Amino acid sequence: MACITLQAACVQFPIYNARSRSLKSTIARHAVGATIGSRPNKDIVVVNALNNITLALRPGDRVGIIGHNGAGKTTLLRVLSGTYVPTSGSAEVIGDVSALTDIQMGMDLEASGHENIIMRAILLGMNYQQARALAPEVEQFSELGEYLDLPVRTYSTGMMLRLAFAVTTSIQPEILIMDELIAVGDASFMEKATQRIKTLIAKANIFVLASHDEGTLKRFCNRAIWLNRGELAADGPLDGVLAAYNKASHQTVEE
Amino acid sequence: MKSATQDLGQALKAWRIWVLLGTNDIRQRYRRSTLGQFWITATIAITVVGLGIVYSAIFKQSIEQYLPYVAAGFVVWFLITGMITDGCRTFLDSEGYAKQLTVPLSVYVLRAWFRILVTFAHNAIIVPVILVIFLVPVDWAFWLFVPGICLVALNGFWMMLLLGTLCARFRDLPQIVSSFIQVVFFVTPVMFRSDQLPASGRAVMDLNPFAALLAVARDPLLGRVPSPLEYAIVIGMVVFGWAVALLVYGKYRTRITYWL
Repeated sequence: MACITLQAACVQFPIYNARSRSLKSTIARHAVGATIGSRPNKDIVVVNALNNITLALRPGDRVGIIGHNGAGKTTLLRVLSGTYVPTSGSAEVIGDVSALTDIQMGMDLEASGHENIIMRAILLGMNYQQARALAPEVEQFSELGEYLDLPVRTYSTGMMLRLAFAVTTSIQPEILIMDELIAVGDASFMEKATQRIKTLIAKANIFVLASHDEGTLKRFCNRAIWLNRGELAADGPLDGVLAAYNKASHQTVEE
Repeated sequence: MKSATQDLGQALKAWRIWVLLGTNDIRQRYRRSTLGQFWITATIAITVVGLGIVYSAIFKQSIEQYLPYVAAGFVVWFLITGMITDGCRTFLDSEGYAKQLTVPLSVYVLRAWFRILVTFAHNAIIVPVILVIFLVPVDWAFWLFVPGICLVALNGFWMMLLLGTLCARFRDLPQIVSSFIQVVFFVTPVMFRSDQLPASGRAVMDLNPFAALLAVARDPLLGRVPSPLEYAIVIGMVVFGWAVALLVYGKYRTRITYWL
């Protein structure tokens, strides 16, 4: 069964400016010693993106992540998907994860739609046979028809998104992670896409969505995690956390 | 180190991904050109023939002897330097994937490694052609190029893993490395022969690891069996290099995504 467990997970980003990123300056610092008017590591700024987060996601959890810009939502999503390993504490992710954050990742503009379907499917962990078997379904869903034989660079932005969406969502992950709900295409396609996302969410063991939109959160989530400056401000049933979050936001506005 | 080997083991299992990304890197570069990826072959053929004609005159050597020497030399040299210079950019170029896919990071090293081996295969086409044109005799020693290339590829991989990790952190290391490689080129017998050097120079050459690396893969192509010393240096590099690279990668593996 899929589950995610974070134990006192912290994420600290070292922000190296151009100076401290260079080997030369590191050597220079060591060679000169730290005496000449500069403190060691002075130009490394550390951003505490996440601080001491402990939480457990279990099957059935539909989690909405809320918080202001820069509160650490995207960083938390990356920790939950396993691409960021916490700098201290631990994160254990069991189950296959699909993070639909950048659905156009790795799209080759010179390659045809068909080639891109295969590529994308392989990146998502399929074998070539499965990837080829996927093609007809994607073709039908994306409604791109003969365009799939043309290079993707000839597509409109909407068509490109439709293709990316059709491939990425054709795999049912155990853990589904999204940064804002994906919205693609014109009205009729949007309806189809929303339907598909709904099924994907319904079948996923764990679903995590970072969003600013209360309506979306209420529609898809049953639990909420409120992040404030990298700290876990609240974790619990959606309605309660949302109410607390809104109250706090209003207070800051009034102040 | 254990975590590094596990990471690498998982990456090897995800071969479909790095084979795909590696091939695609090459396809992307040569798409819409008539010769396609055989531009790689054409480019090295032009380089080698041009250099062969000019430098055989400068060094007063017969072209029948010099051209095969330079061709084999450059094919192997480009393999070695390709791994080193591209190695620096492995993680930097894979940032978009690394922040979204949950595959181990060494997949991206394998991607670049595979790409360079494919490029090498295209370059290597010119060697048999030139050997046939100049009727260079081929005996059993020729086949020693197979273990030779394997040793170069194994050495290349640890260099890529190590340099990729360090270059993600220190952004001017790629420039340092590429100027270093240029200097190494002039002290490594790619264009000249080490027997053209005076005895003292040859002694120094024996200690140049790049000369040994070049020799184990190139010399068999020209019918010379590499010396035990050359094999010893290259095998020593494999053992020592892999140990260092795995240690460094194992230690900083989880930090690399933060540096990108």
